[in-house]
Amino acid sequence: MKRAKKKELISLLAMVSPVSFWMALLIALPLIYILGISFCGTDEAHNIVLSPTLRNYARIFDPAIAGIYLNSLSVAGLATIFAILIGYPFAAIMANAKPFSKTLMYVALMLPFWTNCVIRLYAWRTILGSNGTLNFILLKLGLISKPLEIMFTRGAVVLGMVYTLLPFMVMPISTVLEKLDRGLLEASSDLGARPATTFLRVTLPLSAPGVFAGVIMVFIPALGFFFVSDLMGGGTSQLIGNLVERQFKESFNWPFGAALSVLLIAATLILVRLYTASGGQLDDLGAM
Amino acid sequence: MSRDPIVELAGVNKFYGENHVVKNLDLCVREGEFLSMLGPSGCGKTTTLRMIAGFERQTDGLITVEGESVEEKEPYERSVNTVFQSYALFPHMNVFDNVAYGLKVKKESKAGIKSRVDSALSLVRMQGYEKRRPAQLSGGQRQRIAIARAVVNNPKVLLLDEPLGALDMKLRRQMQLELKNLQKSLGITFLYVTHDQEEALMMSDRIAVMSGGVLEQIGTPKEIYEKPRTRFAADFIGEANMFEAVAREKRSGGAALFELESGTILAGAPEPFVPGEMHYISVRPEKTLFSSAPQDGFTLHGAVIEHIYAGSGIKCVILLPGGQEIKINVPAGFPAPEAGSAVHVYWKPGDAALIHSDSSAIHNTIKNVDLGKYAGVGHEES
Amino acid sequence: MKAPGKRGRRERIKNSVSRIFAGLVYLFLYIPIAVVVLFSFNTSRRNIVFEGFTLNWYKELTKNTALLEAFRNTLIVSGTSTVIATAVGTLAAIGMFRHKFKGRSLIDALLYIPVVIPEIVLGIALLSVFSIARIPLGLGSMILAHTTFCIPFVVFTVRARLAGFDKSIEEAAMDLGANRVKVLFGITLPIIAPGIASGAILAFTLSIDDIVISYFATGPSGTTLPLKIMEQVRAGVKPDVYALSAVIMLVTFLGVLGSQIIAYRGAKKMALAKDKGDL
Repeated sequence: MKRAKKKELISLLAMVSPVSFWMALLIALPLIYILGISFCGTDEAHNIVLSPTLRNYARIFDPAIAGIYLNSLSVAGLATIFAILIGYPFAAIMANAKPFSKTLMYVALMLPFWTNCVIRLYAWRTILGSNGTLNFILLKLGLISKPLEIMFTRGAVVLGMVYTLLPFMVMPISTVLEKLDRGLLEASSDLGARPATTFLRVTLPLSAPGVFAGVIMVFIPALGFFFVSDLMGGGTSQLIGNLVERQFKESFNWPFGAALSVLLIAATLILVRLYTASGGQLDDLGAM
Repeated sequence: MSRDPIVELAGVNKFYGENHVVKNLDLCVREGEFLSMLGPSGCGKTTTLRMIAGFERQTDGLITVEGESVEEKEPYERSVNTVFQSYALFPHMNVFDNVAYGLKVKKESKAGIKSRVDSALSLVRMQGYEKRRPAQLSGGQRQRIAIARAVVNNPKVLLLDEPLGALDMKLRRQMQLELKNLQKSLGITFLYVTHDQEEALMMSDRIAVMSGGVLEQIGTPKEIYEKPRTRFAADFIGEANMFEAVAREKRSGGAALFELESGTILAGAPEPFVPGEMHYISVRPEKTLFSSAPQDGFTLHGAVIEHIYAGSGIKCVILLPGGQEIKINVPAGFPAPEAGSAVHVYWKPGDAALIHSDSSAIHNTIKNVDLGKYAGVGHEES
Repeated sequence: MKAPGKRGRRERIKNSVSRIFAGLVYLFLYIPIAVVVLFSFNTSRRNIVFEGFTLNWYKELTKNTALLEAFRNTLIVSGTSTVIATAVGTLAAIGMFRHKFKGRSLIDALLYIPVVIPEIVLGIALLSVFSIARIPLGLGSMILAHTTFCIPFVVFTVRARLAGFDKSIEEAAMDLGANRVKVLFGITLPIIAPGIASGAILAFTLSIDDIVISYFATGPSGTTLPLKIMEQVRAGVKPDVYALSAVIMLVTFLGVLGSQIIAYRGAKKMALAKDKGDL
């Protein structure tokens, strides 16, 4: 029996120790470090000094910082709402398509990702800029007398977020809708419900975990995507991500950046906790 | 049948955590026989099979194949092969590669593999399907390939885990006959797990009846059916009318008079005969008879409450005054009592099977403990 | 056959509305890509109005060694991370599927973290670890970083495929004499290969599209295409970047098309053979 148990153990170790070490060294350790330095201060030379303090967390109540937080939350919130409004119907169409069209729709949805998002966002500048294609056409047609200011506004940042993150809303919803038992919809209609009622009382509640997963996959990245704000907002719309980025790349105040990150993690954990409490599966967040 | 034992289990226990699924099992499979392990789901029969194959390890006890302990052997080092309930065909290989797998792993020569796979496929009448993938086969065809894939390795023992469980009734009956013939012609020992008692009765040389992790009885189908030794065996295999009876007096011809709650009956006399001792008596519905006049020794009288046409015969239910219901099966073409009529119930004393009551089982256990472990062994030898 | 009255008409309207909606969504997704392709052929170097057709930017591209080098780096980083993440992730998924062991839920929790937390947090956390461990920033650190966020996606995708895997198939192979290594390479991996392939494709897609984590893990020894483009944004992106993107898109498109055709043909052949088999 010993020999067999040993073999079993070796096979287990061979398979799970690489992932364990990798995750311990490059996920657990860095995050613990970030948590640790968020309670530290810095000296003049931007070195981290070990002096337990809550100052970094207190700075969040600084009006300038709080303003960035509120702006970031509203951008992420708006992007999430638009992503649901566009993504839900699209996911429903995809889930109900015939297998061949479904594959086609899926591939077409993921294909743009192979071109880096920076270049795709930059292309939006070409279209929407004050000297851009859209304004050029509208001016030529005489529909407007002076160019519309679309780029470098909060609206442009929201558009960039929706554009970048839409597939992450579509995929979990369509997965849930695909698994939905059609018998339930037929039962609802058999019991006298009109299509709208069936949607509101049956389809929507049952697809809620998918929507929730989509919200996590859109809202959270939207808080941190500083490059979208750079490209589309041109610095007019600061996000939490921009703030964190600056602490690490410009002002070298790592402890403050770490504290901001810890808050982001906390917000994430609360959302994820709500998601699992409402019956969502964590695996659905990662498998596409 | 006094062939040599090929697989032996001695005092085998299996726990899943707190769950004791196989309890102190002793079992001996003889070379060349068709032994079925029969019992309801969860009785430990599949676990026992999987321990012999090596997929599970016994918590304690000894398992030997050809007299050699297999404790330290991995499944791939054991000289047994398995036919799985789900067939477990490799979906990414065609039929030929599936059947050849075991030989290829053992690095047999190409030509040797080809000829052995050919003969295995002809054995299950699946020649011409070599290039098919499992997904392109019907359930029955997959079943045949699963069997060919196992027997091509000339296993010492073939372990079959409910191999016909996924087939429909008609195909199942056909495959039962084919499997039985295959076993006879190959001469390989079959250890066959099933929960279908009819299947076990039809196919087996011997049946091991299991319940709750305990081996209830082992014997030929005839012994199991006609002389069930436990209440479970009598109940699980076929239908049975079961009575709690107290021995009263010996009669001529090896029979004895017993007293029930609702009358008296005759059955074979227990050895030794102890007046006042409690017994269970089981009588099959097709052996249970009825008459309008009372029969010698029998005072069971009741009203016919069911009279059901069942094609090959008629099934009646008679309600005794004490509330017990007695089932009677009358073959088609013979007269059956009408519903609502009153009849006397009897049987030939030799058709009643005597089961030691639980109290006598306890008595036996105490006797064994008193004499010690070795006394039991000595007793068997004598 | 004529569609029956009111119901048929309602059905038709529903279908056309669906098609139009899906079309608009794809228009939204592909307009920037169309712009990229279109302006890669533009004679003007200002990306505003299409003035005339030229292949000049493609010629320029061949001379822009810095850009091509960045692209090569991108391929190195994404390719290497995908290979490592697929190997580590697949092994982990199978190990966690086969065995129940202490610490399994801990590994699970660590795997969920990179999926849910904002990329920027992972980016700075990795940057910190690289600086403590004195790992030089560059392609190596980028590969480490990309592999880290790709592993969980591989694990979850492979695990989803394993959910439908009949464990007795592995037992059957062992029963027939194959040891654990042979079972893994001869049976398990080939059967779950489609899952591994989608996991790898997902990892590569996420890696090649990533900007946030690369931004923090990059260093003097080499930069990737997205970072290079980010640098150029302020000064204005030259159309040779568009030309490179158009070439990448074309290759991707052909690759995806090819793999879909192969997959579709395979499925069709299978279905045909099955029809014959059931006679």
